[in-house]
Amino acid sequence: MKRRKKKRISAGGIFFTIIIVFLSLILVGQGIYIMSEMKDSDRLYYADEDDYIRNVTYEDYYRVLSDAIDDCYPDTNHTETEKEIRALGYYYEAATLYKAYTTAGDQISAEKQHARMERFRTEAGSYADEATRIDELLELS
Amino acid sequence: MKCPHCGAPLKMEDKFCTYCGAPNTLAMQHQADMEHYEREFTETQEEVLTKSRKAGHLTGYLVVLIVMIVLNIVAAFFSSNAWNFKYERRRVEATKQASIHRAALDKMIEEQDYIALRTYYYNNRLSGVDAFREYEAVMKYAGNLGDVYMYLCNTDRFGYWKSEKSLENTITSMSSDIISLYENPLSSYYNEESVTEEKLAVIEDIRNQAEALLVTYGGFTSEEVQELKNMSKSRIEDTLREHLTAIRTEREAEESTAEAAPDESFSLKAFYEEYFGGDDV
Repeated sequence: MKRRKKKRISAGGIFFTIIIVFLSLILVGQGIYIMSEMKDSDRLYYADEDDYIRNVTYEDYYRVLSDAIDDCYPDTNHTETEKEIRALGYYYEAATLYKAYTTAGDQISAEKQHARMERFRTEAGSYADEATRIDELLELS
Repeated sequence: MKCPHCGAPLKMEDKFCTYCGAPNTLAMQHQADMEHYEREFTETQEEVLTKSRKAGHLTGYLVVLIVMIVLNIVAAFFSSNAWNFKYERRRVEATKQASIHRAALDKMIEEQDYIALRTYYYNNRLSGVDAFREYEAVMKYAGNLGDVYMYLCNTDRFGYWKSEKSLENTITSMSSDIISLYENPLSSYYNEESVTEEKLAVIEDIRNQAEALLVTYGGFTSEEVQELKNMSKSRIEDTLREHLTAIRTEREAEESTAEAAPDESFSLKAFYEEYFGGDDV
């Protein structure tokens, strides 16, 4: 029976193999970096439905507004709940501005914000009661 | 071929003469020569093959090495320019959707929703895109207003202000924003379309909104906000410190009053009476 010849690996072969493996690792690393750079961050921020609900539960209306403002991409598809809570966030903004303009005696701007409040209260749908809570917190009612 | 002993004809493969039986020395010599040549041929062939195999391996390694080096150089070029490629891609996308973004920005300005303006501008990567250069100055002031709003209307602000350090951080940051709000946009390096009469009116409206917020939620008086544009940073900080500390003290007093008040909704005594029949536990 023919005995298989034991394959000898030369020192040069080992040297070249190490360099090639090293270059391959660098190449893979660069590839990952390029992919992540190109992919990253078309969207900087996302708040999901749970985030919105949690912030309403804690009555952290500023955070609701902040999440709504941050997630401001025109082509985002929000769930119905998200839409309602986002409207509540904007209600908080309009209400705080309404109070500020009223205090400052700027009636035209106050009316503009009041119109926004009305619009967002309607859009808040099942969360409209929270708008009443915001009015209480800001002592608007 | 003839037998060297008896002269009878012989074939090359005959080891002995078929007539006299003498050994065929010529054939044996020939066979020995053939074996020698064959051995030499095999050795030479082995040597050539070994050399060419080694050269083949070396060429293979070199080709792979060169390919890897070239790929690494190309990858290094792409990774060092990744940000530029990404920026360019976004610029093209933002330009494609220019009408949608402009409508959104104009609506926010129309509704005095300046607080959301800057975030929309930056999150949608409109900064530096030609189609939106006219909003650049407005964005800077909207950003300052957004910060002031965050400090004054954050639902968590009282908890944050409890610590002296946090309150001081708020004062330092807010004073910087207020100073920035009153910077003259015409003295900055904004392009002309960014500081038209229309845009300057928007910037003034942003300042008015900031002043209204400071009066309502920052404890400032109307006279103080009128003076803001002439105040130094240290004076703004002193004024903020005075008002925010007063708001914090008032809040703490309210909280301690609420804590001291008996909670009528829950009575431990009634609880024991209900569950343990009035016995002490």
